[in-house]
Amino acid sequence: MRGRHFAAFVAPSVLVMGGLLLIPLAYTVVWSFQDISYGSPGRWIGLRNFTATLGTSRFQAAVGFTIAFTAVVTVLLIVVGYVLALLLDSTSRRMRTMFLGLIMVSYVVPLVVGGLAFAQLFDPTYGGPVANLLAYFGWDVQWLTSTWPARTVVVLNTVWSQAAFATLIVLAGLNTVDSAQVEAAVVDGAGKWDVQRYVVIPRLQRLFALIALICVMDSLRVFDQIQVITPSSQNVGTESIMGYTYDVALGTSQRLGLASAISVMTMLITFVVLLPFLRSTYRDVTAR
Amino acid sequence: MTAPSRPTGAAAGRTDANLSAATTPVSAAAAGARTRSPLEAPKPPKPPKRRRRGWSAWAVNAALAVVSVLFLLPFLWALLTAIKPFRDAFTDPPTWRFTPTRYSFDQLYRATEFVSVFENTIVVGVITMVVSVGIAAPAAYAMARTRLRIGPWLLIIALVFRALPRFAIVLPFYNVAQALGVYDTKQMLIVALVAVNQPFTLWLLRNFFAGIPADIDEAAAIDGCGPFQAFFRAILPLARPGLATAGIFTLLLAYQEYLIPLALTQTNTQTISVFVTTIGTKQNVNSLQTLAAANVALAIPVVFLALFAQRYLVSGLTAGAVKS
Repeated sequence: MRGRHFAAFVAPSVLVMGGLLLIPLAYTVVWSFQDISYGSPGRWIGLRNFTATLGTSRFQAAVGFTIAFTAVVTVLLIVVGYVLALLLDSTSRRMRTMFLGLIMVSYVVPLVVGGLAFAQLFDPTYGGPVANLLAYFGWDVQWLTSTWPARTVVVLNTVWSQAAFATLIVLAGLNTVDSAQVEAAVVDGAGKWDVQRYVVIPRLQRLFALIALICVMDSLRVFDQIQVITPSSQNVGTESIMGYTYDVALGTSQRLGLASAISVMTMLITFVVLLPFLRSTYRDVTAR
Repeated sequence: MTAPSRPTGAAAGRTDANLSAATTPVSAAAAGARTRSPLEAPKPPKPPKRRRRGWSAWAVNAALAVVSVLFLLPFLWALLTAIKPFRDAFTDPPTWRFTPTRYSFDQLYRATEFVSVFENTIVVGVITMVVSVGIAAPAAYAMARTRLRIGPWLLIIALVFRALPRFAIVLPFYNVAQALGVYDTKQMLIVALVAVNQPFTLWLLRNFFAGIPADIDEAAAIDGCGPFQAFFRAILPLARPGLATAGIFTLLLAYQEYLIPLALTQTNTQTISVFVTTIGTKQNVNSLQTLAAANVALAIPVVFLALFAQRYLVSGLTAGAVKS
């Protein structure tokens, strides 16, 4: 394909990305250096938005929570996806379609819908069955309003809603495992676990990395489900970076400059975390 | 291994060559990997063995059934909450004997904006989908075909855009929308949704176009098609499953989006996510039953989608995961 034609084909997409993503992004960067509110011109204040944000314990808590949340969810998601995929891989095709369909429901509904329905199970005030069951066994906990229980619920909810996606990716990978290689390993005396450990899992490594990439991208900007599961996340200790940004930008205070500075820092964190993934993706794309 | 005799590779190859005429290429390849005694009477080929040994099918299915029920539990519970009479809905221990009632669903359909909000969500989602796919498809095709260095870079940029924190984009949109007086309009909402989701559509489609052999382009060129004709006449018809997948996913993302409508809409063009949270956070007990009814009403179409459009969901989720 010649350059002229390439340009014509990509023009609409590039224009939309440039006009509707890059320009807003540029505004965010500019505003992050300004004292500004909506609809009025800003005043340059240098790095003060950044220093002010970095100094608040609320921001530090949000960053710490978001990063820990991302790490835990990513690991759990890979484990759950792997186990579910192994189960689905060992059943018949029709059963697989049915069970996959049922597991996918939590993935397809909006996060807030899933979050609200999920939180009901853990709400002891309104007869949440899981909360009541655990209370019956002596674990009487305010799941949605005390720090660690609420964090657990938020993590469980996120894994629940994303499990189908991880499962499908691992399942696709299991189809590429060479059955001859598995049988050769069995002939050589490998047990069930050895086969998984030395044949299947190495084969799946690239896919685990892919799950991690997508999960990290989504978890670093987690917002929806936390807002509905723990509406007062700041007090509960489940406030994410995005939750904090929302409160600064459109919630209790309406400080555009400060919120923009938080966005810029979030982008930096995201970029640093994603850098190794981006490099391997670039190699993948150019190799083909 | 208890097979009485191991065949030579050549013999096994010959047997399988005879069989392969009757089988699909995939199962023939799988059969070729297995060893078969040349002395055996030729049997019809067995389907390739997929089940793992040691786990009985029964135990696997039982485990999967338990997992499925656990995964559906929030919605099953919501259904129970919605059809119980008010005095039975929030008891501890739960009430199992009750007279089912439609009251919560009536409430949802009559006393709230549920129906119009749902319609609005679908309209916004479909327009977002059509526009995003229309913009992304030619670009995705060009990126799958080009040898220019800028191709991969544009893709990486699209991937980075997918990871951007929403507020970095949404706050400028919010500010401009307020200034131009287009805050809380369908148009503004669609523009924002297209902006945010189009890179993902592009990324998905690019993998599908990469899977269509470049020979097709060359054949079209030999037949006298220019690149545009080749794209519209030869490539797009072949890419239909990919377009359907990308379309369904873009629609789904627009349908699920919470932050953008939360920031850019008020009442005129509310979407389902925002609507549900406004009931959910009212924190009075009556609205909890209406909320449960809404959760059920939103989960049911999804069950059908997940069962009957599963192929598209699966191919979208795994696009680019496995190289063919």
